[in-house]
Amino acid sequence: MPMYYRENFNITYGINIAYMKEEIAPGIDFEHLFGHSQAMRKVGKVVQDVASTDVPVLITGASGTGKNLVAKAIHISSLRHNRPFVKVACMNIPSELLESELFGYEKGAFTGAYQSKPGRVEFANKGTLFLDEIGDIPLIIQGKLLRLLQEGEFSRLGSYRDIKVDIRIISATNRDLEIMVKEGKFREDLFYRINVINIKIPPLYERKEEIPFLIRFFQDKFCKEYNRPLVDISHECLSLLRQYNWPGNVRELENAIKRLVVLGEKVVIKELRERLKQNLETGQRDEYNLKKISKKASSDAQRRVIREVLEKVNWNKKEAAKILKISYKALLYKIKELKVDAR
Amino acid sequence: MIEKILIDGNGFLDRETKALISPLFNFLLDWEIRRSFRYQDFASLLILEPDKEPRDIKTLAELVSLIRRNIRETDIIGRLNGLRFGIILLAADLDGAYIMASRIMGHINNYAFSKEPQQRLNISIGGACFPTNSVDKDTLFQLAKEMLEEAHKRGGNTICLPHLIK
Repeated sequence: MPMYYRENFNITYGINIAYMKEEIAPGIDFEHLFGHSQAMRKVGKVVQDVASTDVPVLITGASGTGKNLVAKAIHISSLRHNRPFVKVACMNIPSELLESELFGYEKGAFTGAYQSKPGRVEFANKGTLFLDEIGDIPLIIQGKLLRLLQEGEFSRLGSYRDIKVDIRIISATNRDLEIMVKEGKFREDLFYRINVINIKIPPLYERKEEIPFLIRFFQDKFCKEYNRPLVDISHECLSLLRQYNWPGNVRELENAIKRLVVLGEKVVIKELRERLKQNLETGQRDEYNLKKISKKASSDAQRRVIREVLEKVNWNKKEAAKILKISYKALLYKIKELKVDAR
Repeated sequence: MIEKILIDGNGFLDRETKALISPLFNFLLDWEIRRSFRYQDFASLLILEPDKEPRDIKTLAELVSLIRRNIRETDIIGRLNGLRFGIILLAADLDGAYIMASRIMGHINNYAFSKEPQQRLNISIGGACFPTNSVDKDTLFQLAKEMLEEAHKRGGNTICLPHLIK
């Protein structure tokens, strides 16, 4: 870390002040992203710790929590900040095209490849490659990605020539990659390669203290964008905005404030009231439904016992069926129904 | 051709050779790299220098017109300093750059310059490609210069590109 930055290290938050002045996205700096809740301050601290290194980072969290911004924040705070930050939204690119998009291709590699084309990996040389929704990458490409991570080299589609690159990989996903590994949908070796540091972004309902600030921030933003007067939000609306759980996280809140600015707060109040009422009803329905409760408890207990027995007999299902005093077929059915798997 | 657009301009072209002056060439290199980044395409930089100083300055002007005949209309040629010339080859990867460099070299080697018809002019060429060798303009320039020096070291009249000398 350059001396100038080291001297400006803020002990209170553990966040580098010099970097905090830089904008992560238009109108959003480090203070905005990490400065308004304890949970995000912790994330900010990890971002600063990993930024100066080259270790791969996996950012996890629900959709709309700000994974992209955190990835950008890591790049801006790193020594590669004046080098390219190349983002690849893996879910937006069809799997057949992803390989050529990532690694490029040579002239004549396939029908329609009239000239060579560099891949995004080449453009990220010396900089950061951000793989958004890495869980959507097909298994075949995962192998090539693993080689890139391990050896720092790759070859274009249809080429024999290896190209060496020096890139830092940051990945993000809202899926549970561990489960995908168990299901055989994600390569285990790649998972351990990208998951050196895991940054989990908490959902908005776990950092509700940020909501008033976010409301103000988005209100300012959209009032400017749509040239509307900045009006005070009523106490009723504010309290509803705070009460609601925001399953779509910051993105959902952002859209609600956009509606508020354009259509007025009455529309938003009505919407939120309905949703809160609905949530309460479904919550209550599940909470006090004895049948559901007993079914869930029974399934949990059966799953635990079956797994325990299976582990004792080294997953010999015939033996386990004898101990559990059920038929072999019944055991197979239970394993499938209760989703019992080896941990 | 960009030089034609600027021909009536005030001092954008080198008086002796009619190639672009160095600051403008640098600006255009930066510009084209940004453009290639945006459109996800290649761009190559070649730096070319005669192995021996020509006896007449007009030979240099002839050399530039000869290069211009061998490159595409959209490619850019500029005089960097002294006898060094830079060529920006748009949408050309390392293989494309090598083909272009060999074509230029072959033509120059076999050309009888009007001021020194008895002597053949030998040139050395170094180059680098965006984004394969670097995505940064300064590093690309530096690498192309190193390649040119390597070509001189190898006895001149040679083309050196990073993937060829490894």
